[in-house]
Amino acid sequence: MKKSTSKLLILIPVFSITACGYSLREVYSGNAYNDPVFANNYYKEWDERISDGSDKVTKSVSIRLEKEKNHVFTSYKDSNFQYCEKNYENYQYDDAIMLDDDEDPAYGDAKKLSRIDDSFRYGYLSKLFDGRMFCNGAYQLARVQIDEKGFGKLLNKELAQSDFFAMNFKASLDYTAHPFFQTESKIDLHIGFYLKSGDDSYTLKTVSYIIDNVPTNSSDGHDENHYTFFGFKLDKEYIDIERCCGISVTYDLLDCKGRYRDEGSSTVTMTLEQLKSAGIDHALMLYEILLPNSTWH
Amino acid sequence: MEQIQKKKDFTSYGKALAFLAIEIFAILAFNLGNSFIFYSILAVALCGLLVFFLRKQFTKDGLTSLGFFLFPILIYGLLNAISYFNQDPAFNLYGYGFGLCLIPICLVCIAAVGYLCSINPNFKIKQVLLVIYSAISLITIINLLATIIDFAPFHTILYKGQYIYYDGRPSEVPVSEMAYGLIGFRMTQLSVSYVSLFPSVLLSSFIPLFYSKYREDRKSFLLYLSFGLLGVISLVLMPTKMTIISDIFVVTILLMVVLTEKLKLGKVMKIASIVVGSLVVLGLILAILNNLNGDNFVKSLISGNRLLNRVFNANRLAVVYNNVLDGLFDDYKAFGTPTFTQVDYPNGTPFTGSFLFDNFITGGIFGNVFFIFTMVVGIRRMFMYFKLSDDRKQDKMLMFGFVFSFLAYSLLTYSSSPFIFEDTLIPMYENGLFLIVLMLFGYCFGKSELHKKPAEEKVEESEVIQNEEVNI
Repeated sequence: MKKSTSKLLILIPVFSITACGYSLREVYSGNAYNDPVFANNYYKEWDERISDGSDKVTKSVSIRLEKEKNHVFTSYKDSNFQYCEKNYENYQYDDAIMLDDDEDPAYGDAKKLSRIDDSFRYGYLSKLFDGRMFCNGAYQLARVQIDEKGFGKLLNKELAQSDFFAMNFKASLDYTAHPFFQTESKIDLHIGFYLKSGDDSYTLKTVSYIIDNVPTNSSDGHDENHYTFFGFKLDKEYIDIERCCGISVTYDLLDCKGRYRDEGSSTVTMTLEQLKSAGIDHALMLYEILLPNSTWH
Repeated sequence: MEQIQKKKDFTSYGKALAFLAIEIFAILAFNLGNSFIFYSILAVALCGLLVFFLRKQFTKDGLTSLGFFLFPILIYGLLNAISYFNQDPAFNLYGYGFGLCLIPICLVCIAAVGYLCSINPNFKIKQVLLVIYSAISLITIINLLATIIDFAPFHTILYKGQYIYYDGRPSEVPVSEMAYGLIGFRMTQLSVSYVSLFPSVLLSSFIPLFYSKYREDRKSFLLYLSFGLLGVISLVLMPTKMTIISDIFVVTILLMVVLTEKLKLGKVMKIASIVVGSLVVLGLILAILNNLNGDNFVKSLISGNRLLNRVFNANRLAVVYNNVLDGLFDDYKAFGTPTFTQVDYPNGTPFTGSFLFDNFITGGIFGNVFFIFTMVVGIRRMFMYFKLSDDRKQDKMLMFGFVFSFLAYSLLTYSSSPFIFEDTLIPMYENGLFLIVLMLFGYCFGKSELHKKPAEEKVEESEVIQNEEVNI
């Protein structure tokens, strides 16, 4: 009796570690954030350990990036990107699915975080680590739509080292409200890095940068005039994010104009205040987050 | 002295060859995923060794019957190799030319290995069966624990209609149709149908318990009992509608096998199986005719009759099967179906969940005909082996159990596309358990030939009987 009881007790630890894998951490009923109503598609999830008011986070440093000092870039052709990515000539600013075999490889596909660890392949935010930098007709399947309060996520790995940070994105006004032409948004972008500082505590380092001309309501093609390829050098002297195990993206909308053609074919221009009064939503559409040439543990 | 020395040498080689064969059985039972090249190399190497060392045991009659046994398997393999399915560059096996030749070579060598092992006196079927079931149990435990850890017990019920995101996309099937398991040399998300194949085959390990006594052979008794219980536990912890239906079918078939033997209903079952087999063939013919282009009498009859329409058109399985049968006699479908023509299926693959219909896709009409012929001949030989061989009854019954449980389950729920997040396909002829079925058929062929009375002896016997009658 005692032997069989002790053998059965072995099963208890087995069952206690059920559902410990990646697969069930996020489940959805069907295709999530794919509503015809624009306002229902914002991804607003914050890991509770790093959300506002969490006592596990210590705010440490807030840095306002400088273009020259931090080698900030806002396009693939920017000389600062070429400074950060020494092998930029060997890649293309395009999606792998759009390229033929004999062309230079796509940059996003070559440097995507899902190549580093399987944990980046799981979850809704795997859209930001799958190497797809552009819409190319995939719409909600390729992007994460955020509002100014953004999102915050803890990762399963800790960053050891990375050359630079990059993010490909654009902006959008609620396209179901009016058929807006392409315009530009001016935003103050904030990227938060959560560094492990203890068993269950984190230090937050935030970098901010004002971008004047984020393409807004641009078409879905991969033309670089339709996206902002933003990034900066991770220099230990200025921004050390070793032990980074979480990331957040938020922004402040500083200016935006909405232009569309009304029923009488006249062009209507709405200022930011008019857009807010009319309840027309603004969003950033994030396509890819990269930490190229990084090592993790 | 020289002859004793030769006999001793052969015994050593015989033991080594038996050991190698058992290793291959274990590797196949462990079903190393899409490792067809690996199986092929092992099969060819072992076949070569067996032919070399056992060549003096061959008889003319034996070789002739081996040839007849291997011929339909060779044609089945060739038709799969040259089929339109394997011309699809996305899915063909290791390129063209030599890579495709692997299919018939591997299938023939695997079957021949079974035959050759039967004439090796050191090859003990009871050890082989124990190894096969141990390997299947091992992979069942691994898959069960992995699924419980990555998902949860009863996740197929708890997470109905829930999807996960992988590589930026929602999964093509809900969590309730996934499991986590070992395939090849890695752990990944797999279909529940594929993972449930192993515990379903383990259900047949209850059969030896009807034929052995606990006190006489405690170890084997407890082992087979634990294999069977493991199968039951695994199936209970991840039930789905299709696996439950398939397992009920499997259990029914296994019970019929045991009751037929216990109640000596051989002749009754023979007639019943001929009747059922004929009905199945008739049904298949009707289904094919129902899907011919243009109108015909069978189509009108089926659509005009409510019951027939329900069976052949208006149920979930019929819809899937009819997609394969539709236009079967078109040029390209007669020789298999390239997958790029099938766009509306889960995971982008056209497979039906039944090996019988999947064979139309991978090998075309003629490939399927030779496959069915191989199965019928193989099962018939198993019955002859049962009657003629001096192997233990429990081993013979267990062999029946293995073959029938695999075929019964796969008839309703065979998963040719077990990967959830990849397009890699595993057609029937790449499945390790199917290759074991071929090896066992080969073994039964060899054993039944060994114990079959030669033609001259039969003639002499009948002459003696006739002479006795005359004298009287």
